[in-house]
Amino acid sequence: METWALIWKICFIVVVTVFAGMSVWITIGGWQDVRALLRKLKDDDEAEQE
Amino acid sequence: MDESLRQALGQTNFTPWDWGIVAAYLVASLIVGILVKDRVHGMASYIGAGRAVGTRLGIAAMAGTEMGLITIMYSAQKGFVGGFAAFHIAVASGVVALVVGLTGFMVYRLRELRVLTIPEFYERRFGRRTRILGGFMLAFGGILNMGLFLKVGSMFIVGITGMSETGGALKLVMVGLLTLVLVYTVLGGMISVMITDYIQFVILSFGLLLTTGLAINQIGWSHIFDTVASEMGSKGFNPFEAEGEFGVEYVVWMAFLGIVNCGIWPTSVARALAMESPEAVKKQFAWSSVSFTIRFMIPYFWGICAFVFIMTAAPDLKAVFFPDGAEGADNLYAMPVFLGRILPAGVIGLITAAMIAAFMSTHDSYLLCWSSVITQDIVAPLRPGGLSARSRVLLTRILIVVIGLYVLWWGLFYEGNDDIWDYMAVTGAIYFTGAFAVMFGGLYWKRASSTGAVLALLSGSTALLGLGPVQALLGMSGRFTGAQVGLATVVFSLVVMIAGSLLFPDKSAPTETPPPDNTPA
Repeated sequence: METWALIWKICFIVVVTVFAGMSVWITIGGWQDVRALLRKLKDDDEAEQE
Repeated sequence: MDESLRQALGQTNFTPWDWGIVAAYLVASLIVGILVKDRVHGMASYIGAGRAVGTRLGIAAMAGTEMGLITIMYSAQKGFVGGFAAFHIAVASGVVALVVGLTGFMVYRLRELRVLTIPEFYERRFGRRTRILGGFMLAFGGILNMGLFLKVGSMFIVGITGMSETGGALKLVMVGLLTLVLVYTVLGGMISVMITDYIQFVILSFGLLLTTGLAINQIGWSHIFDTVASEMGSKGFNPFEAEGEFGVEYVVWMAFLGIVNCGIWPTSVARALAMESPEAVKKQFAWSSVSFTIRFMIPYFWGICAFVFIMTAAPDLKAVFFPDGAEGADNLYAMPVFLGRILPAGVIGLITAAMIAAFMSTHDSYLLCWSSVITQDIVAPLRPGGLSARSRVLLTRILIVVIGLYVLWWGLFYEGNDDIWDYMAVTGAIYFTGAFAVMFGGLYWKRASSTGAVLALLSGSTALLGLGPVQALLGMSGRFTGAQVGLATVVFSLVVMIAGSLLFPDKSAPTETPPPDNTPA
């Protein structure tokens, strides 16, 4: 039981830590991707109209 | 709901400030949906966001979609009854997503083919009848599967905000939330879904981490483990323990569901197909392995914390959930009650907004997914001459509203006594057990034939045997678990796919190269 408890403790700490770092990365990078997506869709609109 | 549970739910720290936070979030989601509607010019942009989604936005959208409020609720319930042993499901889900991300198993080749939906792949590989049958089974299982999402999600919101269940509050919440989701999904399609999923990811990830920190601070890290050890023993930690909640078959079944979640379940595949390149899909899944793990692990942990809190610090709740010599209250309420007790005013509004984010990001994706499958894979192929791009978008929008109304009706009037988790697993398995055989065979086995594919899709219906009422009807109650029936159906579908393909081979060779996109832009 102690071994399983240790495994889950390590899993939990590692995953939550990675998730915290990833959340910051996605928050910043995701916003850049949103802007790029909207820019591309706008360019497509303009190209279609031309 | 009995009086004692109603009183327990009513003790919440929710204030007008919290309502303000929730309202601000809801208004922001609506505005985004309205602002991006002018960017929609065809089905590729409406259901595929123009295939221009970057890796980080794709990861956020994937997490937003798959971290639904219903998942959080039932996962918390699993942690509440199963303890840390439930963590194996989270780990299996994350490891499988990582393997899919590193190898590109299924999703890479699907994205290479530039299809918009899974049944579209069926047609390219196996012909039109497979597409229509696959689309029908997918939509049927999927729409049934989401039938109770709205009600369960609204129950959480009613519970955590302290609204009385009497007086129609639950119905008002259901109608209000559904209306909001319908407005921005109908208007903006996948573009607004992607952007609102991003906002929802930011709020949700922050909310999950903050709540977890507050729960640990409130209860104590060591106290959580010690209480689980004393109350549950080794079965609270070891998922293979025969007397516990899980067991070997369950663990294997969960690993298979991990594959389903990545490469077969249409809402996550839709995220992959909207990515800018096949390489971006691999990155998306590799990174999403973290959120695939978290979406289960944190709710399990909250359920465990709720268990520890109730057993050691809240005798009134212990009397409600574990009364001596009587049946306790529905333990689905344990986690919201726990959060309502430990979260301070202000924070509880943020967490509620995060949970509404989880609720909405799942609903918008599911509504868009099933409606687009019906349009693209059932109606359009059946209509002589096909459908124009404009007609497809219009029909998809109408179907979004129709499915939304069905979900509302089902939630308001369905009075079944089924275990909801079993109901969801079985309705999902109707589709994904057969689909696994068809997609695996179609992508990786040249001799896979259309007859084998049709038979495999139909054989997925045997998953219905996992449902309690069906077992009772056939006089086999309690003989097989849902996991055993699910795994048997997967094997059966694969055998049928192989046998059907060998016995009834196609006359022409399958298409190996992706043809030009046949969807009107």
